[in-house]
Amino acid sequence: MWSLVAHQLENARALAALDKGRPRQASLRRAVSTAYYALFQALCETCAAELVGWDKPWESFTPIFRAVEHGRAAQTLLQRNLATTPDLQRLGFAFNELQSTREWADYNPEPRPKLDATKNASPFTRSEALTLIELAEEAVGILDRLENSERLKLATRLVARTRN
Amino acid sequence: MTLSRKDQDAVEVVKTAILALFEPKTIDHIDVLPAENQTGEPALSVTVFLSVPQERMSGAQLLDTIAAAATALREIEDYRFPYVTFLAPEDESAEDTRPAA
Repeated sequence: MWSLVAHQLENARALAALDKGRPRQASLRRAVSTAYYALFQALCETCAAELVGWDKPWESFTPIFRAVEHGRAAQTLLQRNLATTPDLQRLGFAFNELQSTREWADYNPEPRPKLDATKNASPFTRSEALTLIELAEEAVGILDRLENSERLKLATRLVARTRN
Repeated sequence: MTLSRKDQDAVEVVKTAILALFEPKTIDHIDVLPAENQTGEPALSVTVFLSVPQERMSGAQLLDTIAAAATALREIEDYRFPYVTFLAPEDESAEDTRPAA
């Protein structure tokens, strides 16, 4: 696992555990968002490492690292012609779940509707934040276990545009 | 709210798929509602209410649950994504940040 990703996951866990008693929304929101970004940047690193290589100049590496788009990645990872193995399917499921929760964590001031129904005014519970961090770890673990051919295919599909 | 036939089928297969993963005593009930995701795409909001106070599911269990629900939906050609949340009684919710009136 790339150390930047490992350290982001550590930071997410620290944020989720930060407050004694009732947690602060800011802590849980940043924990969930950080967990998503750990996975997103793991995908970016996979693309750049596979398609360019860490031994190449930044001017070649960075544009590919930054070519991965959030929304397009979510759609691509669920496509049946890419998600051809259980692990690749699970990677797509985890990414989509985390992207949705990160969107709420970063942009929405409201309690989520399904939580409001339980009279819970919080966007996230501490348990949920911890579970989502573990979900990101699971997904990064899947990414790390992929065979070289699967990593190359994944990287190509996340970066390349298909002509319509 | 009256659900369409498609939604009723989705609710049924998702609940069945999730209940098959856990011991019966683990889950109090499951809510499955039509929703939209952050990009406006049709989706399903799945909330699994656990029975035991402060019980926490692992990330692997959450992923198993999403996978089971998504696979069951695909089998009935419903490609909406099931966004899953587990809630347990007495979970530690965050502070309410709304300013006092």
